[in-house]
Amino acid sequence: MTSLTARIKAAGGRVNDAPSGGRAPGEPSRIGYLYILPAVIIYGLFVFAPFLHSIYLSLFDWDGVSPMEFVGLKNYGAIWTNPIFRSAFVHSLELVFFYTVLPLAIGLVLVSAIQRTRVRGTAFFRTALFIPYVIAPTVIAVIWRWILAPKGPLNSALDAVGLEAISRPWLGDFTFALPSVGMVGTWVMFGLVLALLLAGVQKIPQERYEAARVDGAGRWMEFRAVTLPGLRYEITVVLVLTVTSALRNFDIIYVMTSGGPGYATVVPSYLVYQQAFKVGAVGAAAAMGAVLVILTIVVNLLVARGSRGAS
Amino acid sequence: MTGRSDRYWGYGLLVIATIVALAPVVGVLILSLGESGRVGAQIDLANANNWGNFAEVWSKGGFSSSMMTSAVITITVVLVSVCLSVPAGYGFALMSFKGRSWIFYLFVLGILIPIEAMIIPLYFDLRSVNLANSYLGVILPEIGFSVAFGVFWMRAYFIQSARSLVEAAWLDGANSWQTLTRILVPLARPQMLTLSVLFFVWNWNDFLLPLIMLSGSDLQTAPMSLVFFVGQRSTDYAYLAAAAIITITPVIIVFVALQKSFTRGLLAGAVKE
Amino acid sequence: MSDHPENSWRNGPGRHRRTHWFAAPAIGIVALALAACGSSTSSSSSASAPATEAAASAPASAAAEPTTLWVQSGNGGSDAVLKAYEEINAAFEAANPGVSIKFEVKGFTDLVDTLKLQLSGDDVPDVTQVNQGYGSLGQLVGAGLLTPLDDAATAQDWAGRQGESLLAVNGRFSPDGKTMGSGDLYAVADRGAWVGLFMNVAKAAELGISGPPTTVDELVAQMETAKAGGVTPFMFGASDGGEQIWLMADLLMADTSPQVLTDVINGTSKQLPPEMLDVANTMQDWAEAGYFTEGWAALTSTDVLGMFAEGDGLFSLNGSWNVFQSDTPENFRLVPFPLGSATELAAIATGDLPWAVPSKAKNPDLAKKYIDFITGPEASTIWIKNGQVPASVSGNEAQEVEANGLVGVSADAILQWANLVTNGTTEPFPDWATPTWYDTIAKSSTALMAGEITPQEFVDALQADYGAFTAERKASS
Repeated sequence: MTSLTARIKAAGGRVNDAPSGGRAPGEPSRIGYLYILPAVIIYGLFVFAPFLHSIYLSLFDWDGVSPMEFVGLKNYGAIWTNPIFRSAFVHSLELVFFYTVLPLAIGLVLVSAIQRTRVRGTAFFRTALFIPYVIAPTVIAVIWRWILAPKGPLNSALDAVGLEAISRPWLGDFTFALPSVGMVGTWVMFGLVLALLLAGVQKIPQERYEAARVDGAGRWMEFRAVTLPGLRYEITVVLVLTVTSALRNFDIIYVMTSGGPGYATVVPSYLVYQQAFKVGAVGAAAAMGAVLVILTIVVNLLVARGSRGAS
Repeated sequence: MTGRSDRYWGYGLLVIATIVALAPVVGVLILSLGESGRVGAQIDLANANNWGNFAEVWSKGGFSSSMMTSAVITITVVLVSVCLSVPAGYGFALMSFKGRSWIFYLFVLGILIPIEAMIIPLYFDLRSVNLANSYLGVILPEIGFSVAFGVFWMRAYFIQSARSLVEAAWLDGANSWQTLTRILVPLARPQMLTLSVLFFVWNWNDFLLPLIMLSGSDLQTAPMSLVFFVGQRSTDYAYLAAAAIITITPVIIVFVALQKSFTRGLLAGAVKE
Repeated sequence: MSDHPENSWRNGPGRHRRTHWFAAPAIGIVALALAACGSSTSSSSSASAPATEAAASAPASAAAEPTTLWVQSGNGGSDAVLKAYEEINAAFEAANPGVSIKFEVKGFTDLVDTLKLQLSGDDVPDVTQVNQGYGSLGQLVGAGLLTPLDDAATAQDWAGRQGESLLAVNGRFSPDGKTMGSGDLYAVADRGAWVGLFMNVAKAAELGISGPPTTVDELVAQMETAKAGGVTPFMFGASDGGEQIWLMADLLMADTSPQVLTDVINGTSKQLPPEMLDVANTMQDWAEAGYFTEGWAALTSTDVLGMFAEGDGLFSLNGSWNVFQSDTPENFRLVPFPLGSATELAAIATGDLPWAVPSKAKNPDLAKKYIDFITGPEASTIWIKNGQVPASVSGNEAQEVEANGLVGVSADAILQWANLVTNGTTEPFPDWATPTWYDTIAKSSTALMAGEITPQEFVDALQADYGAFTAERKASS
């Protein structure tokens, strides 16, 4: 996960902190090119070049097999004018709440509850909490489709405890489908967030808590003055990781709802796939993908800036 | 507010969180042992003994070959990506050369690009050089995406932990390659292991890239075998659950087996300078 | 990495090298790769030459040396169908010494989503299933990726087996891919697929309902009876989209005539018929009246058919390809949707995914022979034996169904198909009308039936999609 910290540094523009002693006597720095070259070649050929190719395609009307027709920025304009496309971007911002805000809130409440104690068996807890994150998204979608089915375990449990009023066909409900998919994201992310925050909180020196206690700080003050600043780094990592997942979410939507009911859970990455493979509008799909990349970069820059501002 | 009550609180909350994290997985495990062919989707603990479901699903979904395909792809990607990420991270972290920062920015981009956005051009590009519909057609782009992340990871570690060591080694007359292989790599083992686990998880789980890249061949990966059961005409929950369990088992095994080193790498990486 | 892309870089049109900068390798590689990409898109159009050569050499090699025929199916997951193919393939191999079949099975979605990518490359199957309609078959034909089958069709009299209208519906397209239902023959179905009303006749008898409805009004009355008797009237699942599309088409036919539906699907006019509004009202009314399965928006059509097979509900709407096994098969019937006119027999009835020969197939003649075989009389017997509906109609269906002991919906599926093809009108699937219509109807009708949008808004959404595509198609053809 730490590379994520590096990622934030990078996004925040700190890459130029050249290591002062980086150049040893007689060691030409250009040899650095040799070290990065293999990675650059593979990345350049198989990720970056196709990405540029995709941006190029976004300027065309093309079904993937027929001759291409240059249309300029028309595909980008369509994203603005089509209400379904617009709503997809709104949905993905709503998902940020479930992927990011909620897991972080849960994680912070839990770590603050245990901030003063050394809990034994953390290795076990950390492993268990991490499990949802290592499970394939397709499997996660399968699991939760089953749990949320009209006669699935969730509704059975609600009925059993007399909460029939709440039980409903979650994924078929125009109001609750998106939050339901969002809660799946919360489930995937909260363990990861908690595991990271647990690791972080253990590095906060106990003396700081003792000092706060000597000053007569209550639980809340202690959390604000010691825990929160101590976790600043981990929180930033969590923000970048979860926000990116929320915006890129494809497999879970694809298997769980295919964007339905109606257009209630349509998100940009699903539309990219649908446009490219179902409709055969490769150019439109590429344009939407480009907008999604820009949105992801902007949101991550905001996170990086926000976290720097907070420090 | 005694230490003891704090501790109970802590354990209580952690136990609840763990149950929430694991209950759905355990539920699916029980479901997978249920009676196949039933339309209902309820778990039935009393009759959860149909171990034969796994054998059925294994042969129906073609898991013998898809698990092997997934293993070949994933292991190759993990090994090559780590081998490329370490020297590249070292170069970016400890050497100064022209264009270093903006080449690095291009790698940042690689972490943020959604694969759906570029999968079609990628397919056409690879096909034009006869790489589509083959192992390499999946492996090479997966390596590309993996090194984007791996370069950050290793660079961050080398910047934080290795600078003084490297200066000392270079002053001792070691050249840059010796410094890397003899001093840094042994030290960076936890980081490399953590990176390997992450690569393993991501690449094993990846669905869209193999689906498209292998569309013209009879190769398929484990998640593709699983989706085969999702696309069935009537959902047989016991089989679907069994396929899900088969698909995630290798990842869980790798993760649990290496979790100690994984955490060490994670924690060491998180230590600020 | 022996086949490294280096060679194709050299052929690339533009090589922008920035020699002033030491790290040029990275940039240069990217630029060269881009150049290679640029040329890749044009290379796909110029690839028919090798196919012709292969075609010329195919007959000779088929007879003499061992040949492998690469067959690609999209029927993954249908065990009974795949078992029948095993038998049919064995019979084909026996009839053609030296030929061995490589039978590759994909899921329906995997096949349909990746077919265009696959067939525009050089490594293509000799014969593959394709999906019908403008968005799928139309685009493949328009891009020149499929070989016309007319010579084989004439030589073996396929029209005599299946009827010209069925051939046309499944596989005829103008060579530009802009007109469906006429032109050259590009694909042929081996199995019939039709959509009908599943009815639990045992439950109907309990409710005092005498037989299948003959009009929509009668259907509504029977649903009311079921509802009063505490039985779910209509097992309905909308989350995969198919069932509401079939319902919409059937209601439109009942409200107008089969010809109106045909015209809509073929895109004869840019304007949807005004009766679409009535249809929308009916769909919304039925949902509001509580005829449908509880939680229908979160269930798939196959979920609810599974529940129906276990005894839930009075009716369901589904395809003949989904007929189910039951311990009490005599309790269930499959009948055409009631259209209200005693003289007119019509249903959504086409083929299962039809078979086509890619332009770049290595063994096109053998591939045509294969298609001829799987649609021929010997295969028909195997299909019926496995409870499948052969597309070709022999007139012997009744005897064969009886000989194989098929009863209930399995028998209905085969017998009603033969009846429809012989005496009725076979309608295409409504979503073939535009590449996006399936998604548009599926999603908008769910919103309509859930009361999220009005019937007028529903019709407007469909018209927007339909009008745009029809106009574009007419303009360019």
